[in-house]
Amino acid sequence: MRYECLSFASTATGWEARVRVPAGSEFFRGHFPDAPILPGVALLAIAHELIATRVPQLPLLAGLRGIRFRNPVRPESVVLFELTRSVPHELTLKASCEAARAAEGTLLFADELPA
Amino acid sequence: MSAIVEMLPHGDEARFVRTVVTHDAESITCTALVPATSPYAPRGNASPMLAVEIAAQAAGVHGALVADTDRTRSGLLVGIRELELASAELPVDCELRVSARLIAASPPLAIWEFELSAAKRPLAHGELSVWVATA
Repeated sequence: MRYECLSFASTATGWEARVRVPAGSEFFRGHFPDAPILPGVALLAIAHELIATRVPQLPLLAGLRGIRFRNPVRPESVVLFELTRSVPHELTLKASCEAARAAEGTLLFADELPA
Repeated sequence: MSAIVEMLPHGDEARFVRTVVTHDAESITCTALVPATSPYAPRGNASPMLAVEIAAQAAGVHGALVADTDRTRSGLLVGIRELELASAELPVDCELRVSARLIAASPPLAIWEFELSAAKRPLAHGELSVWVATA
């Protein structure tokens, strides 16, 4: 199992999800052998998967802007993802772990990607 | 030249950069490969977010190549200023090419711009920042 989605709900401005990342998650394999932490891009991939698989007619992911990784996510952590629709085709991401901010930034979407 | 495995702290499953094509004092081009078994590819092709990890690993390899020590230095991806995607997914089991260029450095932080392609087809480009252990 890569991660377990404990809850997913719509909010007034977007979506909120709680995800557990088990110690045996494939995302931890090799990252790093002696001190496993969740790769930052795994956190982003999970956030995108959560909405892409649950929100119909979501536009294509076109990019990212201003992503900051603040604190590491360790095995067995429960991560709270807050995705807020700020302007059309943009979602503000806040990912927190036990009240500590793990990552934040903006996911960008588009109806088409540049050729 | 040391093997890639000796230049990055990643284990086999998390290491995507395969070979160094060319490098100089401020840039590097590498080949990379995402196996179909990667957790980033649960439904076939891989998450495009992985472009950033591949670029960060290329930056890490560059750091090892220009460093005056044989010891593997730890580094962390601390930010993504910008990522622009030309593809919604990354192909798996396919040779990718990543080029990264150092655009600013204030140790222990460094900012790199990068491009990722497959068979000369652009997949993504952007800018990332990494923190590199100096000791």
